[in-house]
Amino acid sequence: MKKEQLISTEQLNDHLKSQKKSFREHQRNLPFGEKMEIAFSLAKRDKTIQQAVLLPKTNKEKSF
Amino acid sequence: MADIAKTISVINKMVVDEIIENYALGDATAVIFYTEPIATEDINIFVHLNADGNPLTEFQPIFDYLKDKNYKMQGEHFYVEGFPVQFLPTGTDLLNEAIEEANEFQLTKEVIVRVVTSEHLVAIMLNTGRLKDYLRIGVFLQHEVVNLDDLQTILSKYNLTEKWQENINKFQ
Repeated sequence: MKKEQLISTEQLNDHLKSQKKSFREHQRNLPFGEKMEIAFSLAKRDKTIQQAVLLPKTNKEKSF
Repeated sequence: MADIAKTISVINKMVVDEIIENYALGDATAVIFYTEPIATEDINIFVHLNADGNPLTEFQPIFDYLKDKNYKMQGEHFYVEGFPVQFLPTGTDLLNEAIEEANEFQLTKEVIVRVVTSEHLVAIMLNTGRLKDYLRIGVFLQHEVVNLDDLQTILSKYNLTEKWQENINKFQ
């Protein structure tokens, strides 16, 4: 049973690795303009996450 | 969706109109060109300026030219055909060489774009040495877009070989 689980975990890992690799290959082969659009979206996403993480802290500080 | 070829076309016209001497896409923009999208807020362009040597006024011709063409400025960016563009001066021999030896690619039938070579880009990022530069070098090496012999020649020329050896484990 344990051996079977181990094999399926390894298979899943390999599958995820291969999916990730083909996704990156696909991203690499996109036209330059599309890649830049994605890059700007990623920057916006990072900014939103940064603000979401920082905001509660700021509010907490204000409440004291 | 904005068309990046139109943005590059404006930059090419700036060379023809002698506003800038030459240019090359650099920084995150060049990394994206050669590899995959990574977060960035602008198009980074290294420029050789037709300057009078005064650092306070060297960008004035660019500002005047783009304002005349009704491109708006916001913060440190000009919005050229829908894309935020940041012009970066070249203050070192390495950056000057990176512009001179940039690769030229046919972006569309009509538009050629100049991009810093991947080897110069890695050397520039190593020299700058921020955490995000090291991460980007890692992306470059994963995608195998760097000619390691050419890179070693550049690193040696600009005394960066030791720094490369010291930090190589951070790129893997």
